[in-house]
Amino acid sequence: MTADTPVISIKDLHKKYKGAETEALKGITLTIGKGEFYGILGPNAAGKTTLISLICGLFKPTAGSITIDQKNESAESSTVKKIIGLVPQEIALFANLTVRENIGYFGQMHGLYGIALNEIVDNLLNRLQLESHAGKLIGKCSGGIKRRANLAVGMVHNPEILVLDEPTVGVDAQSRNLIFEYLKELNRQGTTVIYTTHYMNEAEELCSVVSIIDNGLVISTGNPAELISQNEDCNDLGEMFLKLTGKALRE
Amino acid sequence: MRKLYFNIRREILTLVRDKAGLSILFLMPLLLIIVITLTQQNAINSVSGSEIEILFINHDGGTIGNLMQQGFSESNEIKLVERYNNKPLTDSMLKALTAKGKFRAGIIISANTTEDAEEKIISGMRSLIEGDEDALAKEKVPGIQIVFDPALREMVKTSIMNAVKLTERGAESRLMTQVLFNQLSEVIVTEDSTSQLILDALKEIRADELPQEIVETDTSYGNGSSAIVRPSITQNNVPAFALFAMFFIVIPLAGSLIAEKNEGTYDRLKTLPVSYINILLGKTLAYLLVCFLQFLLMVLVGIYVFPHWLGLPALVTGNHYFAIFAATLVSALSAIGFGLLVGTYSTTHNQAAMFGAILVVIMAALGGIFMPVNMMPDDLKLISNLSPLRWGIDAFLDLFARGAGLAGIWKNLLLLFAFFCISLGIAAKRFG
Repeated sequence: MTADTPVISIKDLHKKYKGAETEALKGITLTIGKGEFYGILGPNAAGKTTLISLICGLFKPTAGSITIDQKNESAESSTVKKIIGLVPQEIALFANLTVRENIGYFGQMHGLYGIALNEIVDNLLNRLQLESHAGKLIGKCSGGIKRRANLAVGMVHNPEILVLDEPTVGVDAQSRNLIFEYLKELNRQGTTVIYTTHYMNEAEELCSVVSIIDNGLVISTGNPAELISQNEDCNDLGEMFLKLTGKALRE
Repeated sequence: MRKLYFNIRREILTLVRDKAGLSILFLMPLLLIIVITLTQQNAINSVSGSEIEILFINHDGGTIGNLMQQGFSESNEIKLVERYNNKPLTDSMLKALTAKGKFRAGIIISANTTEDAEEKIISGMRSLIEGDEDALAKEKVPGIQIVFDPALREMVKTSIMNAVKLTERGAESRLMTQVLFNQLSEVIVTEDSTSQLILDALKEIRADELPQEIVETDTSYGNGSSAIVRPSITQNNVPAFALFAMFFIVIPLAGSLIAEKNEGTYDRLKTLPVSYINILLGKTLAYLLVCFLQFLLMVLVGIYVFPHWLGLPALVTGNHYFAIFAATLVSALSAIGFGLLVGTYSTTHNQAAMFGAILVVIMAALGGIFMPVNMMPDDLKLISNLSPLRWGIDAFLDLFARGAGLAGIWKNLLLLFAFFCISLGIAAKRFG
């Protein structure tokens, strides 16, 4: 399969939270191809995290459908869960477990055990330069180590689709660079990466396709370079983003 | 099953590394049970059990004074103190010492008490013979003075009063019998030599020769198994406070649920190919182990530490081991269920800790841990039936203090298990 083969098809997706006055998503339709590095951009409260949560099956949409890997299964099904890896914005790890134990535990929940799991954990620790911190409790690690461990946990089962929600928030340049290199390598090896960020330069550098969403709707989709060229008055993705979403402050 | 094992392992690792949580689970209940049992035992000892030192001055020197002195000396509850700092007590010393609280009470038997009492008995009997039926009841001799420490608790005061009254009544009745015999020998005139010998013998009878107790009072327990389980403060406190401590797992358990919700691990767990009921069961089994260890620790403290180090009665577990195991199991499950409920409906750790801890204390109070349920107002008695702690405490008291077996406690065990199942169901539905 290539980038033309859809791995995620989203049709007219709506989500209204209980008690909310307006919908968080108002009819999103997009297709993510196999092997794409897909950026989802948008200002605060645009609906990025809601969209990612629905893709990962954290809750059900109010209306619309999500088809993953051409399987007409709900996102909550265990078949779909096995091929998706989520790296949430929060450091969603157990503070009283070590870096190694955290990665290992999530691997075990994916059905990995014994030597095979140990090898995977060792590889991840090595690739994300976490070996010297493997025995440290997560609660006592620095922000950069936590971020990398957070990423490793999302990757432990070698998912076909990796969903990252602002994975570089609060990390130093070195850690950010390491994460970028790793994600690029994964993508080259065929992993579909879905990436949300506030940093437009990150999206421009990493993503093959971006969708800009605002107020629960997709307002533009395409290759970053092509999108910029379509807007003559914009020199980069940041300027285009402000042009499309406006300069008014958000929540 | 493997995933369940890994979930249990993760919970145990998390618990073991949470030193503050562990101290709440093990050390605090241990301190609580020791402090409360020692305090209660001391309170019981001050009312009954151990000897209370009481100052005693006998100005009388007659039958009443001597019999009371003898009665107190034979008592296991009161120890008479007749000298202070190697000096014989005086009335003013006695009053000063009790006023300062050095002694809880003092007894002064006035001079001529026996003599006055004998006169009153004789005059009372004459009045009786003359037709005044209440004559003896009306006759009172102001001969015994009890002086109390002004700060003495009413319960202790009543206990001392009762002991003094009992001894006094015994002395009075023996004096009355002696006077009666003596009077009979004086008023009856006979020429029969045998009768005269009896009358002479009656005249010589002394009060202290008369029997003190004729009808024996026997005590036993309703369960008829006093040979196996002897009710004591330990028999009540160890199981009751072990259960109380078990329910305090609400703090770390609810805390772990809230941390998972707030830190995003709960959302992450939902993206895994494992059911949330598996994760909740992992928590349940890990905390079940904690509860069993807590209970075992409490029982071991009751069996070994209480009698050997603290001078408290030892815990007697009886031989209903399976019933004790079953009661511990379902009590622990209900405590875990309560923790799951609090964790499900609380939004912050502080909220869960405050709400959970206060609710446990209220449920324990309703359960009769601090005051027996039968001493509660009727409305509270009714409400107490809703407390899982009441179900558990009743079951444990039946086992440890009343010597009951599984057949006697199964209804309570069923209630506790039902509470756990409902709580687990609510938590799984809410989270899953």
